[in-house]
Amino acid sequence: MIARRNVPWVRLALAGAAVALTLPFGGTILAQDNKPKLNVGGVEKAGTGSIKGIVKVVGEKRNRAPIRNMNVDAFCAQYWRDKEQPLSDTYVWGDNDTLQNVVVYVSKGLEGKEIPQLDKAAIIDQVGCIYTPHVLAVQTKQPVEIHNSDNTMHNVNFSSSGKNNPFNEAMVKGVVLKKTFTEAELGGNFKCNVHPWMGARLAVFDHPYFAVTQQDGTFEIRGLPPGEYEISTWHEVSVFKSDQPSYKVTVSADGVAEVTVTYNLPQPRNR
Amino acid sequence: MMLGYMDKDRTQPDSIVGNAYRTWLHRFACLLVVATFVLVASGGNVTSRDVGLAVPDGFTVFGHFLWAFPYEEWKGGIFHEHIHRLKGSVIGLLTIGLCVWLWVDYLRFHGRRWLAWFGTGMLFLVILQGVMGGLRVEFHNHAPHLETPFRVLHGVTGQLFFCTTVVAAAALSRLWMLRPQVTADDAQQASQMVRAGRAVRLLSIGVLAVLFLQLVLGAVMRHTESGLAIPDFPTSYGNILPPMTQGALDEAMFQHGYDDNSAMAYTVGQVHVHFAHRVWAIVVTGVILAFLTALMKYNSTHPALRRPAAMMLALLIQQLGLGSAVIWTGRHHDVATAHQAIGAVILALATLLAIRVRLVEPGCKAEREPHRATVAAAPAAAQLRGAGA
Repeated sequence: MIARRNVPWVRLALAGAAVALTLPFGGTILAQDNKPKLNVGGVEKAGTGSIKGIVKVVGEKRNRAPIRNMNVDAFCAQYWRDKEQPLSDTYVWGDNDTLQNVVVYVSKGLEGKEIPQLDKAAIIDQVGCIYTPHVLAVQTKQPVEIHNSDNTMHNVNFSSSGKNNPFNEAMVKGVVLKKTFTEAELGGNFKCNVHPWMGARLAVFDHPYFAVTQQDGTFEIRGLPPGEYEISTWHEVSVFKSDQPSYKVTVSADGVAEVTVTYNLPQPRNR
Repeated sequence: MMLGYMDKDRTQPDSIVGNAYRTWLHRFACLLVVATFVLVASGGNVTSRDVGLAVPDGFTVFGHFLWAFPYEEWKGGIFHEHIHRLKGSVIGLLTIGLCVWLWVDYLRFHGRRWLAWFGTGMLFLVILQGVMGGLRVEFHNHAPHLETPFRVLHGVTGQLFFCTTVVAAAALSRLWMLRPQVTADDAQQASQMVRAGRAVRLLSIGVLAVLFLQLVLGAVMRHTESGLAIPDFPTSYGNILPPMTQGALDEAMFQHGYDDNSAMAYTVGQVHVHFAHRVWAIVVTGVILAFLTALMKYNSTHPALRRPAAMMLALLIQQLGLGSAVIWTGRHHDVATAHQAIGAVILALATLLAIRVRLVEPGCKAEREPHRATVAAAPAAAQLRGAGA
């Protein structure tokens, strides 16, 4: 009986230790709910600095269209029956005129510096016939796991915008595809042809200094050795343009450099 | 009446019984035409919905034999792709049936040898088409650089096969077997007939050529996802000509605004393919109108020409409307499929007319009652066959 009662505590202690060990040695930074914080990237290390910022939008924000035709699969329709109808995730506005799913990355300044390797798996899941997250950023050779939490068949059709190998594989519930991407690229495409509204984008970097903005439009890249850097951004809607091609920042030891990125929106178009 | 052959004693002398009209063979060929159209439209539907890779294995269905795939799994894109494959297998079986029937007709009933070989060619083409369809799926994983060329090839070959079914059906038709002849009253009229015939026959080939090029452009456009590379119509990014450089295109795309289809970052190459399809549509329209005008001068009374010509004109107008609607609806998959399917029908009609203008002489009118027409035309047909036609 004693042993049984002790088991949860032992497990919790082990899990806590694992989380605590993960943080100092880099890898994915976890939020309180134990999910990876996608808008926080980099590898924490003593004597390094970080870049913090926010991605704002200027211009008229078009309403996102609801996803139609979910009833082609009874599971997808059933999943969303009593929930708020999902919207197209091509562009997702954040709080207070911010933009989600913007990939922010260090584009210059890492030359000659030691580049850590992320070895914790990045996960993209299929939940309710929607990819979660919609934009995944990973480092080259970092393990990537593609999950299927849905009780229906998906296919994962990846096409590269660069030199990574494309693949197309079927996924029933519970299957986990394990992949790695060896070439840096922006805008790789995950698609499910069974449910054609399902799409996600992939960014691959040859370093771990990147982040993807979430609900509040903020990002943070930690663990940068002191020095001068340039950061750039990418959003899948090619006509969304940031006000500068890149932003120069100076990172000092234990310091925080701040950047505000502004995306100018073109006019919304109504068909 | 074996195999539905027309009763020889009423229509043909014994010496030409092998070349008699085969009612059921012709009907079978017509069935193949209709079934192939359904398959071609189904292929268009798969491309329009972008579900061609919903079944990741090219030659099996999630590891199952094609006809053994459980019905419960026919959902979403799998449904459309699997239905397309099933239809393809049915067409394969029908083509085998036609090929065998044509050989039996040749070997046992003195049918035409060239037609038996033509049927064999059709069979090879349909097998090749099936293999290309499977390879197109497999290449995505194993040879990505070949995927798009094979997608285009699969789309074009499908419509070419559709045209061969039309040729087979036309070759088995009553019109082909019993070519009605008219005799010119004098040398001048005969000369006019020859001239008119030459022009219209040349134009019929011209129509086929321009339509084929448009088919290739359309297939390239669809399979390189360039359908909305120019998002407005009749203008191109607000102008007559689209942007010609990548920088100008990026600027034009920004100026044109955004919607849910804006995730695609188009290249200037995609814009050029799209624009070529639009410009070539004008050429196609001009050549078809010239052909139809010449055709009506050539022979406006024979229903074998008049009906397909009228249908072609109606479909041409509809096709131009559908092409516009593809843009205006943001490439709605049903509209895009209709545009592709109507294009296939126009190509099939052009094939049919190219054959029929070689069968129907100017001034020739159709008889109202088929049997009497058959009887009346039989001597001329016998004469033609006697000359090795």
